[in-house]
Amino acid sequence: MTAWVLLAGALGCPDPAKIEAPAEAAVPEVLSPLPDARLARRLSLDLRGVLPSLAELDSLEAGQVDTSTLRDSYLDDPRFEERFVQLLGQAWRTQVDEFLVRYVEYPELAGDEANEYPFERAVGEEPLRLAARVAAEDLPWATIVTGDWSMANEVTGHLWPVDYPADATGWQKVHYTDGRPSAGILATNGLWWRYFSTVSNYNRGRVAAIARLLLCEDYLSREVSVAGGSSVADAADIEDHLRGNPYCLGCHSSIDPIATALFGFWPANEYSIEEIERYHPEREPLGPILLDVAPSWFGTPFTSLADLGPLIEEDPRFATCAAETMASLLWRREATLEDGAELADVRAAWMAEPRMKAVMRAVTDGAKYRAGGFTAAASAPDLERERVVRQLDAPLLASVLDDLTGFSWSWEGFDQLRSDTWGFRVLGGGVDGLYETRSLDVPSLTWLLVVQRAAESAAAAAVDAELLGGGDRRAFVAVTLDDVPGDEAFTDELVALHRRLYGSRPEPSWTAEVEALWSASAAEADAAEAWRTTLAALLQDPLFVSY
Amino acid sequence: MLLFLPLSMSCGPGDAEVAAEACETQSAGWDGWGRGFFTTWCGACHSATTADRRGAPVGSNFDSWDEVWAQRARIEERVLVDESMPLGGGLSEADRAELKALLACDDDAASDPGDESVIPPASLDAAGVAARADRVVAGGIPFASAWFDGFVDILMAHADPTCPEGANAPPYAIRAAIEGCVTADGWMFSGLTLRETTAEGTGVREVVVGDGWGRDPEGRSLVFGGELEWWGDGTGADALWESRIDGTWGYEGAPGWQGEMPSLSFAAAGAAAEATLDGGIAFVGAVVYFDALRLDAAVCPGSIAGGGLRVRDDAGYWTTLTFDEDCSACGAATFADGSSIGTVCVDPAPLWASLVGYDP
Ligand code: HEC
Repeated sequence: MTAWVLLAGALGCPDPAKIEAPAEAAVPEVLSPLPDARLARRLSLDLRGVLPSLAELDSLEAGQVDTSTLRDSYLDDPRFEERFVQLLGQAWRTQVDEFLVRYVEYPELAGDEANEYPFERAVGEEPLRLAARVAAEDLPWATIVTGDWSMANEVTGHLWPVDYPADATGWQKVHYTDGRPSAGILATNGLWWRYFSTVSNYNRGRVAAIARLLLCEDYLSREVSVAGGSSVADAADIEDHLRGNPYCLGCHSSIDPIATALFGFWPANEYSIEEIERYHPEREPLGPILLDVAPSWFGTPFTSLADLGPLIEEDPRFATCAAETMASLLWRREATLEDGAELADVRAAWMAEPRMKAVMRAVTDGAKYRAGGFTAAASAPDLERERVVRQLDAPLLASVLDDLTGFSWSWEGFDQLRSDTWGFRVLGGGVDGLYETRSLDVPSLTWLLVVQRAAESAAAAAVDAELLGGGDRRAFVAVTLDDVPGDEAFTDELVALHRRLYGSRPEPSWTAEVEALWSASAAEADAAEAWRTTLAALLQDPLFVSY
Repeated sequence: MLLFLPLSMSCGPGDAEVAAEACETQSAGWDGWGRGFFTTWCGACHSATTADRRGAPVGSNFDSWDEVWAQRARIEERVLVDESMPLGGGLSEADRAELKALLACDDDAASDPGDESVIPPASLDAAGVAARADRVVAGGIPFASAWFDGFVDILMAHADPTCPEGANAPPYAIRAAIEGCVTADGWMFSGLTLRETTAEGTGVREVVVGDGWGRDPEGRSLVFGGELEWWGDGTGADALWESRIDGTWGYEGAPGWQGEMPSLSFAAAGAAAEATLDGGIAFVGAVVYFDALRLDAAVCPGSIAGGGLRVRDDAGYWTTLTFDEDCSACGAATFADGSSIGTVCVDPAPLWASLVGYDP
């Protein structure tokens, strides 16, 4: 029997052991769950980019809410939309620091260097903001490819052909006024500035982006064999090869018929502002002519870019990809074949309700998301694959510190933790969208330095604003500069800080150590400096920078 | 030792039941994985709806689980055993493993939703199509040389010796700082044009590449982004000529349709009494694409001798008009979904008016 089973397994036949009992019961648990308060912290960070409030931790401790209720409230939190932008940005990779057109080419922006960063994010975040609005409003996820609206802020709103309200500020829903078809993100400047087409690439690279972002099909990673000796030299040669050579046909037989849909975005000069910020409806018919193929979505004919959204919506890979993308982002690792069972659960949630919040609920309900450690049953591949600890990367750190202390790190208009030209996003473990495509999950030297400087500055900002300046309490609850170790207010403050920052109550030994640190610092300087030192230290604790 | 088992009997005792059940519990069934796999890797050639099978045998389609199941042995052989499909290779080991598992399933478990692309009903009737066509045709034939002359007129009137550099004398290849320069009379220029003049036949070919913009003191835009190209054989009244405008070349302060900042991807070629027009022109409110529209005084003086044009509606769907060969400048119009819109007539007079006397 054993030999038969092995043989059958090798041939791809179902393993009888798995058929007799549901897969989960047959496989021993390899993951142990996070304690509730830590899980609430992970959920709050992932879904709103901030720490749970003390009130939330209180009600969790008192059993008035469970983590699922909290999770649902986080999904409805006003900060969810912003967090979703940052999260999806890691997969869509549009928050880049460079486009073919620079801010100085706009006379409205040229005069001030501080315009560079806001311009770059206003461009690159357009598709992400659209997707985040769809998610936040709990619209069907396919709206991202069928909607007739986009998002613009006060930068792009006044530069691009959109109906941005004259007196508005911030991100607003807008409609393009240049005749582009309704196709959600597929009709946004932001997506196509990031995934631009050169004149001779004929939009093919953009189709690879559509396939990767929306179908999770990565053409660029296909292990294609180029037949020996065929040298693909000039553009005309390439065009011949793509149509005649079987090794090129494999991908191009599906890419080219889709690329035909995007010729309204095909520029006559890819460096000209007017050419890339406006849609060119008169070029739509050029696609089938220049590519010499009829428009089709993997074999289903279509006639307009407006048809693409509904075709994508019906493509089962769109559902699978939505599930896989969100699972990967929340698991902080690639989804693999071994995740089939959990992904099937997520996909089932989607089938019941094809909306992103449903997907996020399903992912965050799963054992892989909730894992805080391994059991003895975990094998070496399990240990290698699963992420039971996440690390705050620079953009998430920025969001947490801003919420906690009001500190935001900016220089010449550049957000230092969210950009790279003059900032530390990648050095701090973040994704730049071009070279780094997954946020760091183990500490690095530069990450530690970024955390250290951010923690020191945030601590100083909190002490200055709250303890010296008498401002609203955010990081501190009730302590004053007159309180010293041993005072009730001092002890209460340490307990509150431990809970707020780490999600759990402190051990007495911890309290004693922190009091000693505070006292040593106070002896050298004063109470304010002692709190700066203490809070900066707490913000560098592994319990704070991991989640 | 068994080295090869035909698929249909590879699953041992009671395999039909076992496999049927397996298919239900398996995470990646047809809907979850299989359909996407066949669509991505095979559908462009092996699909009932594909426009170009590229040689894939007729009837060898994988659009549904039924079709895949019926052809599973051949699929296994071509993809898993001798790896000769998909054409060009590229499958990962993971995909091969999934396919192997999928093909081990029974056919009961699979479902097969079809997909159809839905084209909304035509929003323009014959009169609407004609109105849009006439609106673009009313501008006459856009000649690249004339457009460049218009651009040079603006430079001559407003440029300073150094803003933009190169603006005051032929060849008018200009250069200005990317953030712009300002002239004494308040115009702003940014970017550059490159101009190449080469002898060709008895005439010259001119190519201008532009990447720049200007603003007049009232804040109206001048745009030169794309390419202009023209050629004439230099023989005077009967000269052969070619003209091409790609991109956006316009000035909001200009009279006529250049003032609408039109976007073009348009080419024309001809002689004194004939022309062929190809490509698209977008105006505010009217977008037309010329399909080898023919003007020929020897065949249809003052009218249209053949070819066609397409007119776009606001949602992005096109109506195609093919001119009758009776010099009526009318023809049958067909909407994107294949339905007839009726007969549409175009006023060709402005095209002829611009052609007469054109000498590049
Ligand atoms: C670029 C076009 C193209 C793609 C993509 C492609 N094929 Fe083919 N396929 C062909 C051609 C051409 C033939 C006929 C020539 C031959 O048999 O090699 C063929 C033949 C076959 C046959 C033999 C058919 C018969 O009835 O004898 C099978 C089976 C097959 N393909 C399976 C697949 C599968 C499965 C995929 C996807 C994983 C795939 N093909 C992808 C072009 C393609």
